[in-house]
Amino acid sequence: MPFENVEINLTASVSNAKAHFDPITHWDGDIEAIPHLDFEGYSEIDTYSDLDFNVLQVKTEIYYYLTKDLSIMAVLDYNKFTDDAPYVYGDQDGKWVYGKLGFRLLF
Amino acid sequence: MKKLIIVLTILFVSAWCFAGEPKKESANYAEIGAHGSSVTKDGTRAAEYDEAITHAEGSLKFRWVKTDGDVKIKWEGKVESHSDMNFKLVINSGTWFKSTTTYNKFFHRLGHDKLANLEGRESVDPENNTPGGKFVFHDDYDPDVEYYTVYEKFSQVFDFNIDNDSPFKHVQVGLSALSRKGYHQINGLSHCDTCHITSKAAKTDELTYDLWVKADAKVGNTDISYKGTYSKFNNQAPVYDLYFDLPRHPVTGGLIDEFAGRTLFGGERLPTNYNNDNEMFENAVSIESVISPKDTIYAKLLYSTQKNKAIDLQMDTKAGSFRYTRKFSKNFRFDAYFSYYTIDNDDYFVDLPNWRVDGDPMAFNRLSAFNRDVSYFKLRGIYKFSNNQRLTLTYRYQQIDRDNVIVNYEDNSTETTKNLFKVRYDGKFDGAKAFVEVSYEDIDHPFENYDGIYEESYHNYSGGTLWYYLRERVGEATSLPNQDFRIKGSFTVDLTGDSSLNIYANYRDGENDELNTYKMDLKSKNAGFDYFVQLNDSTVVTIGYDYSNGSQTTLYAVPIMDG
Repeated sequence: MPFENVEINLTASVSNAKAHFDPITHWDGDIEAIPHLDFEGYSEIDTYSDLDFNVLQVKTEIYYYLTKDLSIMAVLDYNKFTDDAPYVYGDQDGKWVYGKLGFRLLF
Repeated sequence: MKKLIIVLTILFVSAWCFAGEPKKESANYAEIGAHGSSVTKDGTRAAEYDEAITHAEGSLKFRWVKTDGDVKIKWEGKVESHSDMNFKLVINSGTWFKSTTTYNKFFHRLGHDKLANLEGRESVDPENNTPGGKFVFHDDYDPDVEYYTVYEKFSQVFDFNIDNDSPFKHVQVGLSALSRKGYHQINGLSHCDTCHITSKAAKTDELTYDLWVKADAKVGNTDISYKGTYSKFNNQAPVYDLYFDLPRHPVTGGLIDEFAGRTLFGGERLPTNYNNDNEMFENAVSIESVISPKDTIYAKLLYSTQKNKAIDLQMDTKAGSFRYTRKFSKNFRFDAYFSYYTIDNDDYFVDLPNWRVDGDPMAFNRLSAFNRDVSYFKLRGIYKFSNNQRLTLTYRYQQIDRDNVIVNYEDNSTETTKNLFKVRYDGKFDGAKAFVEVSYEDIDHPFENYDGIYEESYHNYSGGTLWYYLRERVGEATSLPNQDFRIKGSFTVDLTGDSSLNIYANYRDGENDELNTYKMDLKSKNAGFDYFVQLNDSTVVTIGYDYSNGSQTTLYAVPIMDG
């Protein structure tokens, strides 16, 4: 049996977060009486605080038992962060990959 | 204007074990290996608490337990890199002595504010797109620096259990130290407020430590406990400075007294972003006494002093609480709870030059917003219908009386009062359990920025018309409701012997109709499930889903003129 002495642990999570402001539709006050102020310029401010994140996290642990006490261990972590509304901190799209190989001894 | 937040999370966990023979059950293990990692593009969020180690580096993980007579030692730890490791060592000697030592070190990436959004200029002639008037620009003197903090926490706690006829039963002595090192971003704002933003990297080097002693005694049916704590915060990083520009006319660029007179400083380097050293002493005494089989009282007194070591300011906190619990019958218990604390913080004189040099005086004696008396009174009754079902009714009245902060524009009140009513049902059935909780809170004058926005326009001053006058703002704003309704519930059921399902939901509906500017509406919804199934002896699958949706009314106010 090919996987007779194998133990596998798999963890995965997917997360999506969004936040936004509604557009500004009206102003209180007599804005026409105020010179040198362009209220049209504020029409896009609701988009400045948009947030749209996707996060994918996968973790795999594999143990191959050489004996009852000694096993070969392999770990792989993968994180992917997608930023679909970058602003203050710039585009935060990124990936992180982690790998580990070793031995585990029970005693 | 509403802010909407939605969060969805799906979690999947599984484990397969194809081992031909059963795994050996052992408390002791050691893992020795090599690891490496990499970050593609930006690691601020993808690897927020992880380093990028682009070469092979050794790693160690272990647990070792040994028992020798009355002495039991448990030592476990993990080392991934010089800034990612943790250890825990617990030594027990019989029942009278326990030593717990922990050490934890980890890495945290911080974001780098690009400041790119702070670049723009007003148009004095929008139709012809002629730039002029107010503007904002930025300079980041360290644009390529990646900011991070390395946390290091050490704690050592000794527990002595005294097994003799004296009243003292337990003494604990402890030390906890937290260090934060790395680099963070500091910003400076030049001119009247936000015309020119500058930024550079600054070293983080802070140490906080706590020392405490705790003693527990028993006299008859009364347990008495005392805890004394000394805490110290030291900032060992250098003091950084930034250059603050000379104020200039925004259109002509000329140095004009009209603009210079509105700023307190300019054309000089000044220290900024400094966290000063401080320390705290705290003494707490608590008493629990069983005065009859049906009646128990609890009481606690606390006194603490915090000192700002840079300018010798002191803040004192005195607190007391009392609880009475009576079991009226096997099925009905009643609690009455009263709590009070007061905070007294020193005043501080803020020495500022007069407005426009010879105008209105601007120096003032800062009265602390911390200063307050807070009390609350709570009544709670728990009725058990059976061993598996109970109903809890709670009423709480809270009063916050601030010394120096007004929280309502119309009546200049400094007081917030809250009335909370809560009902909760908990039930267990064959293979299932559930709870439902409903609460309503009525709040009179929740905290608000009572004069934060909306100035009186056209204010006449010195023969001229001002569009903005700092000390006559009239608009109230807050994100807190004065009526707050919440309901939440959870249902967990064992579907089969090998699987279970939990479903939960939360709903909140709040509003504030006290404001003189707008009606604040607050709504949030959250629901999800967790499903667990064990397919066979070696395979476990867990699936979870969470959905959150929140919205809140807020107000966008445009600053007119400078500031």
